[in-house]
Amino acid sequence: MMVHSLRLNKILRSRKGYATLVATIIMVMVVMFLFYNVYLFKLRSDADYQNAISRSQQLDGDQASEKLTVLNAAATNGGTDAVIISCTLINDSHIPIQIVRLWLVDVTLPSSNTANVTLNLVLQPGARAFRSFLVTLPGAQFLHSFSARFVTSRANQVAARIN
Amino acid sequence: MPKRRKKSIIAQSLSVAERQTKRLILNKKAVSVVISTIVVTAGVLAMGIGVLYWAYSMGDIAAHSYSKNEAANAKAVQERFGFEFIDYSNISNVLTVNVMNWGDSGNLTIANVYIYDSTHQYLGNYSRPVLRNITTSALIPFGLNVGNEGYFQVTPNPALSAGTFYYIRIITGRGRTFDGSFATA
Repeated sequence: MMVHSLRLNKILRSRKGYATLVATIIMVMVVMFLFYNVYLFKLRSDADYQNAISRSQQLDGDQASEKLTVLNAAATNGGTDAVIISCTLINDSHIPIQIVRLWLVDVTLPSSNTANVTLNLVLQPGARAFRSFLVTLPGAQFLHSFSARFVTSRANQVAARIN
Repeated sequence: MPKRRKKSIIAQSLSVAERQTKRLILNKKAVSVVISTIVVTAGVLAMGIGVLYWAYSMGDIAAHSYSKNEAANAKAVQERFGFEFIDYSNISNVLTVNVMNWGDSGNLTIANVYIYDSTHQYLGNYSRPVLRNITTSALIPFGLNVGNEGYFQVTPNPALSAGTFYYIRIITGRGRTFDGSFATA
């Protein structure tokens, strides 16, 4: 018992190893500080990347949700080398649709039979609109057969056969 | 008499202290140790500061590079390429591909175009085709911006067969791949 207490006293009074202990504590603190900074930086970068992924998934979801219907497409005389394409466009989806271009192929003509017109037609969800578009296409006549394609701003296409 | 004796003791001890101080000042022992310690400390400090700055600059470069890569990846993830209309002329052997940038990343460029047949057999690839405006045919030098449309033309070699189905693959400047298909008239 006496020996034990002496040893304990000796250990408690001994100053040996203090420097090592202090140095280790400082080193651990420095390492933790560095790690914390790197971790925060990585977390911030990952959050930005996750946001980008979320936005891109939203894009895909919106594109898949688009439902555009073309009804009663017809061609009428638009003058020399021009036809008027009329149809009813219906937005059957829950998101707005913007139609940006109409591609018209005159199937009756042998080659160079394609024309397009820039559109800026916005259809609200559930909207139904009757529209006419003048398309200039050399050699085209309204009695010819046509293939019309409406392109939306989300790169979806809806085709309609005329005649 | 005892007072006088006391005085002499004080004077004596003072002179002893004076002598000891003088000796200490004149003593040159251990001066070199002090100087060497100062030199070593200065050297260690200088090296420490140097290493600190080096580590800081390296960390800064790494962080910058990492951020740049992350931003590029994020932009690539948000790229969307849509095929509007693909037309092949049998007479001139020119394939015209009308495309649209419907994603969230601007400056969409095309690095490569691959054409495959209906069984996915490779037919050819065409590097950096020139993008042009659909309406005006003006050159689009820095790629398609968000919502913009454009077209490019390639001359397939070998020429494509009439009435046949083909696949087309576009590799963007940021490394994304977009696949489409078309049929010749």
